Amino acid sequence: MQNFTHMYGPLFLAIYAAIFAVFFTVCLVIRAQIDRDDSEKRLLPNVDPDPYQIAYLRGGTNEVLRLATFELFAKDALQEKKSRLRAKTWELIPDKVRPDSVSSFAWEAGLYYTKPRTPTEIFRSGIASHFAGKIREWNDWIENEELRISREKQLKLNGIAILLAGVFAAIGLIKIMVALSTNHNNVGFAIAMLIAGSIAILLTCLPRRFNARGRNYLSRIQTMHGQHRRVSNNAQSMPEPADATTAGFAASSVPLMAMGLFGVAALQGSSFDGFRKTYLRSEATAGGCGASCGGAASCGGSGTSCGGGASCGGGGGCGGGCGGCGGS
Amino acid sequence: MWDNNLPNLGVGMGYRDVYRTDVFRHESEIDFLEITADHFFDPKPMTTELLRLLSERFPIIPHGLALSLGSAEGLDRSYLANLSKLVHQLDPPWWSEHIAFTRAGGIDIGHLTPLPKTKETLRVLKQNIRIAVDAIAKPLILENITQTISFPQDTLDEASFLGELVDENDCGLLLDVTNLYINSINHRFDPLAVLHRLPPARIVQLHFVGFYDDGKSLIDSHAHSTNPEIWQLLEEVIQYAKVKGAILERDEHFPPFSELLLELSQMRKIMLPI
Repeated sequence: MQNFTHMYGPLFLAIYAAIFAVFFTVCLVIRAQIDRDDSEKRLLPNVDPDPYQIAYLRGGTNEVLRLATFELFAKDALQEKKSRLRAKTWELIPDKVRPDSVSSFAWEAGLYYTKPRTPTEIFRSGIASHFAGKIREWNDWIENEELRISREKQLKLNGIAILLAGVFAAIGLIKIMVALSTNHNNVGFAIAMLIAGSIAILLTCLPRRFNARGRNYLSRIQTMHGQHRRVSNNAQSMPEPADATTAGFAASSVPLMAMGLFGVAALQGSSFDGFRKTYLRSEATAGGCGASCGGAASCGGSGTSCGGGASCGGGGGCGGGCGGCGGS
Repeated sequence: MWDNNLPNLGVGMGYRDVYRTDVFRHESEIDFLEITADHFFDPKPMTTELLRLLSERFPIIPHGLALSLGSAEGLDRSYLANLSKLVHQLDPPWWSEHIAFTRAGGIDIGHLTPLPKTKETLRVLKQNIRIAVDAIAKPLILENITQTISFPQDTLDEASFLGELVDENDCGLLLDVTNLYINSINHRFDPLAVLHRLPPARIVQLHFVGFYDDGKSLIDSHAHSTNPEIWQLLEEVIQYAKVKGAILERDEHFPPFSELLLELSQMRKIMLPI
């Protein structure tokens, strides 16, 4: 067989593309196997979930903070302020909130809003550390229920992807070096394939927020509460849950539950639409952590196709880049 | 031959999406659900997931709205195919449709329309029912609707029409007790006399809900709590026939779910007296 280093350029590129296809497919297959849901162990959703817990599952700490802010907003405890110099800010109306009238998350958020803050500032505030215990509890729950890929399996996937990306890069690099050493300078395609192919292989091992089991769990719980996918303005057509008192404040508040389960998209067209729009606007202008961060309009359960699936709520393509925003 | 050994399903309710969470929350207080089949023909993932979640928890009876068994032009084959697929998927002990037509001249009327009580109507129904039962291998039960009008051509009375229909076609009867009562008042007949002329072994399931009086006639609005007259008639029906299930139907003016649960509980006491 002809040594690949001395192969005619186009032939090498064709073989190189085939190698990429094989490596990429291997990574995807391994990932799919690791990500598989064992339906016999299907987790039965709790019909009265803690909306904060589901918000955390969907989009991490940012979603919890957003929900806490919404709880204050829904209680008319935040007044909006506009100034020429700063973007729109919210400030707490202290007499609207008592420790026993809101969740502990909203209480902490309320303390933060005693000074005027822009809607996205809270994500960088560090107040999430005030409920670190709860977050630890939720992480334990996620781990115990196997709602995301375990650390061991993730490491295994990382190792395979890095190995295959390394082999792929090495083949390209050797060919390019040999070509350059023999004064063949038309190596642009090979360089492009090397870079793009290696990145693509590595991307297959990016950690996601959920595994298939997690996605199924979220999908099932969202389906159970599907009538709250859009918070209605018409109380006649949307009865409050019966016996809500037994489920606590969270369950008795349809908008809060909807927001926890589906993100701000659930508020579209409702009397809380201002909250949704404010977030969209401020996230769009905040840069970096744009509207795609864990549960903005296009993510976090806004629809069946994006209902907390692999690409939503803080992981994958719909929020995976939010780690630097002080959140999850 | 008609198999009367169908399972006892108990007391349930017509599934309505506004009560979705409540239905899951009060799983133990609802024995079975009846779904409007037409709402689940859509193969969207969300609909499929919902149906899967519901069927994991409850026996489900598919209830067709628009098969239009009374249409002289025959059945809509695509509707029948969808219905058949759904019944196959759910594997219920029986399925149900209305004794009515909803389509004429290819136009969907969008309403359950009463049929003249004649031999000719029975012939049309028989033809369509044969096609439906050939396509869906589960027992069919047929529901009496409210007669908003009575036809001058009627040659059969309510009991004869219903009795002949289910006997000739070897079907069960889904007796809507509210409809029976409303028809008896609006068309001046004795509901008990009609009841006692129906074949008791064929009365499989009941529907019940409240009605209202608009001053001229009684209206089947599916928007009110079950009236005392209906409860009384339900007791008579339960004494007369060994029904396998009863469904509370509510489609408008949705009350707090706890009110529906009370009605289910009351019906359960009638069906299963201690």
